[in-house]
Amino acid sequence: MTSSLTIKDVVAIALLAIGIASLVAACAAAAWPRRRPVPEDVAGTQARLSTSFAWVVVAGLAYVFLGVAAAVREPRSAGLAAAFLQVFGVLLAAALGGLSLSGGHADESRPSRLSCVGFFVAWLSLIGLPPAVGFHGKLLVYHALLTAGWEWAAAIAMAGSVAVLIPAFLAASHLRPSAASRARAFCLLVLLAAVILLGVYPQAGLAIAESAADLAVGVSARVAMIGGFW
Amino acid sequence: MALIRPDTVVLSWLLALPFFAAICTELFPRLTLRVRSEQEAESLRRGPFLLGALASLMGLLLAGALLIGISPGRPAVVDFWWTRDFYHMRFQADLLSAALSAVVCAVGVLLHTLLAGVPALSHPHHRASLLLAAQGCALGACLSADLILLFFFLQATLVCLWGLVFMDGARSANQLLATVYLGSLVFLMGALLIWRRTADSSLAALPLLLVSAEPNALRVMALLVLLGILPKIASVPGHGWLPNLAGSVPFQAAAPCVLLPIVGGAALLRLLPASFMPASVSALGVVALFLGVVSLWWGAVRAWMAPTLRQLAAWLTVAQSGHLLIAVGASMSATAPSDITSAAILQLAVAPLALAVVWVGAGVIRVRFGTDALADLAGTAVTGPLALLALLAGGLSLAGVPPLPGFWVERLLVSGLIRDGHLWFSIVILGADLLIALAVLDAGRRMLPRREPAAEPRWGSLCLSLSAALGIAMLLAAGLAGPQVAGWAQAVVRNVISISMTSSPIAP
Repeated sequence: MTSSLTIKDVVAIALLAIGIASLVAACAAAAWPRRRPVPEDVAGTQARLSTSFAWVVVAGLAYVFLGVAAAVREPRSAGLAAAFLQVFGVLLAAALGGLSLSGGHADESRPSRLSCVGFFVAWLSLIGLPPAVGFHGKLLVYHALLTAGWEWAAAIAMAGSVAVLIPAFLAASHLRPSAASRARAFCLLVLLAAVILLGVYPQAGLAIAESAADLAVGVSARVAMIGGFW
Repeated sequence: MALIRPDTVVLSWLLALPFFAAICTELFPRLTLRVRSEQEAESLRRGPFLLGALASLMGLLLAGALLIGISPGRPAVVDFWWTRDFYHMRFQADLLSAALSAVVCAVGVLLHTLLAGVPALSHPHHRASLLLAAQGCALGACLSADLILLFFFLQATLVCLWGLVFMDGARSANQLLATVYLGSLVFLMGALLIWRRTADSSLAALPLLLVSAEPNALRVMALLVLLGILPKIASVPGHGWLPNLAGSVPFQAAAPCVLLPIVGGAALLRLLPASFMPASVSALGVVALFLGVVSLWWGAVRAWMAPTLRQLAAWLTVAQSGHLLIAVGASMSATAPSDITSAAILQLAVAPLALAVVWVGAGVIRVRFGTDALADLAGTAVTGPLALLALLAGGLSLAGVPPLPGFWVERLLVSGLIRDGHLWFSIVILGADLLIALAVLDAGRRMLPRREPAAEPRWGSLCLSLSAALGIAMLLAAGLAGPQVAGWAQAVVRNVISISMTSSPIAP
C-alpha cells in the first residue's frame, strides 16, 4: 500500500504549519512580552498594551492561514470563506483597537468612554467572543479544520483563543483610554457599529466573504491552468 | 402554534435592552445635576434596577404566555431569515425552553429587586443594563434550537456576567471568564464534531447522529459536551471560579451563580437527553454520576464548613449541580425510568430559583447588618425575619425538604433510582441532602437571638424586604403546586421524546 503526497497536500500542510507556528509565536509574544526599557508610567503601560495588542492581531491573522490550509485540503470545508471573514474581522478589530489606543497621552487628556468601549469590543472580537464579528470568523475556521480532518489543529487553534485571554486581562486592568476628538469619535462609532452588526448579523459579512472566496478560487484556477501544475 | 412565538420573546428583550440602557445610562445628565441631597441621590440609584425588575416581569408574562400557548409535542419553531443561507439561527419553544425562560425572568425579578435595595452601589445603570443583557442572552440560550446559536448565547451570557463581576473585582471576574471560556471551547469542539457528522447545526438533526455515528464517536462527542458544560453549572472540577466569586461583593456573585447554571443545564439537557443517548454511551452516564456524587458531597461538606453566608450560598450552588449531574447520568442508563429524566428537568427549573432565594437572603443580611459572617449574626433573626425565612426556604428546598419544590425533585430522583436498582445511590444522595439541611439549619440557628444584644441593622428598605418576600412566595407556590409541577416535568419528557421521534429519520 502506497500513499502518495500530492502538491496540494504539501501546500496544505505548509500553510497549516505556517499558521500554527505564527499562532503559537504570536500568542507567546502577546502573553509574555519581552522586557524592554519602557518607563513605568502611563505612557510606558500604554506602549506595552499597544505591543501586546499588535501581537494578538498577528495571532488573529494566523487563523487565516489555517482556514486557507483547510480549504486547500478539503474544498467543501468552506475554509476560504472562513479565512476571508476572519480577515475582515481582524482588520476591523485592529482598526478599532488601534484608534482606541492611539491619540493624545492619557495623562494629559480626559478619558473617553467611547475609546474604552471600542478597545473592549476589539478585544472581544479578537478573542472570538460574541456579539463581535470575530466570533463567526473563528468559529468557521474551527469548523473548516474539523471538516478537513484536522481535529488536532482545531484543538491548537482553540488553545490559541484561550492564550489570548492573558493579554486581554492585562489590557482590561491597565487600560487608560485616551481622549477622542470628534473625527476620531465618529470613526470609532462607525467601526464599533460594523464589528457589532456583523457579529449579530453575520450574513452580510459572509456574503462578501463567499464572493471573495469564489473570486479567489476562479483566479487560482486560471493561474493553475496557465501554469499547468495544479 | 403558540400564541406568542419564541422569537417574539427574544426580540422583545433585544428591543427592550437599548430602551432600558438608554434610560439607565447617562443620556440625561441634567437629571443627576438636579440632585440636591444624598437621600435624593440614593432614591435615584434604585431607578435602573426597578426598571430592570419591570422588564423581568414583562419577560415572565411573555414566557408564561408562551408556556400556555404551546401544545405538547408540537413546539413552535422559528427560523431567523437572515442566517438561513448559512447556519440556521433557529429558535424553538417547547415546554422545557418556555419554562426555563420563565425561571430566568423570575430570577431576574428577584435579583433586580435585591439590587434596588442595596445602598451606595456604584454605577447602578451599568449594572442594571449588564444584568438585563445577561438575562436576555440566557433567554436566547434557553430558546435556541441550534448548536451555533446555543453556543453564541452561552458565550454572550458569559461576557455580560464577566462585565458585571468585573465592576467589583478584576481578578475574580477574569477567573470566571477564563474557566468558563475554557470549558466553552471544549463544548464547542463536541458541538462542531456533531455538526460535522450531521451536516446540520440544528438540534433537530441530533437523532440522525444515532444512526450515522459509531459508538466511540458518540462517546467522544457526548464526553466533550459534558466536560465543557461542567464549569457553567459549577460542578467539580469546573467550580474553581465560584469560591473566589463568593469572596467578592455578594450581589454580583448572585447573578453568575444563578444564571450560568440555568444556561449550562439547558444546554446539557438539550444535547444529552435520555431520548437521544442510546445504551452505547451509557459509560458516559457513569462519568456523570461520579462527577455528580463528588460535586454533591463536596458542595455539601464545604457548605457545612462555610464561615459566611456567601460561602454557604456558593457551595450550595456546587451541591445543586451534583443533583443535576446525578439525574442526567442516571437517565442515560438503558433501564432508567422516565422519572429520573423528569427529576433532571425539574431540578433545572427549581434549583436556580431556590439558589436565587438563598442569595437574596444572604444579600439582605449583608446589606442590613453589614456582615454575613455566621459568627456575627446572633440576633439578626429578630430584626430581619424575612431574610432568615428566605435563607431557610431556599436552602431547605435544595436539600429536598417538603413542602418546598426541591422535595418533588428528590422524590422523583430517589424513587427512580430505587426502581432502577440503585439503592446505594439513593442513600448517598439522601445523606448529602441531610448534610445540606444541617448546614442551612445551623446557619439559621446562629441568627436566633442569644443573651448578647442583637446586631443593629444599618439600613433597611422596602426593596430588600420585597425581594425576600417574593422569593419565599415563589418557592412556596411552586412547592404547594408540587404534583402539578412534577406532572409538568413528565409532560416535558414526553414532549422532548415526541419531538425527537418526529424529527428522527428512523421514526415510524
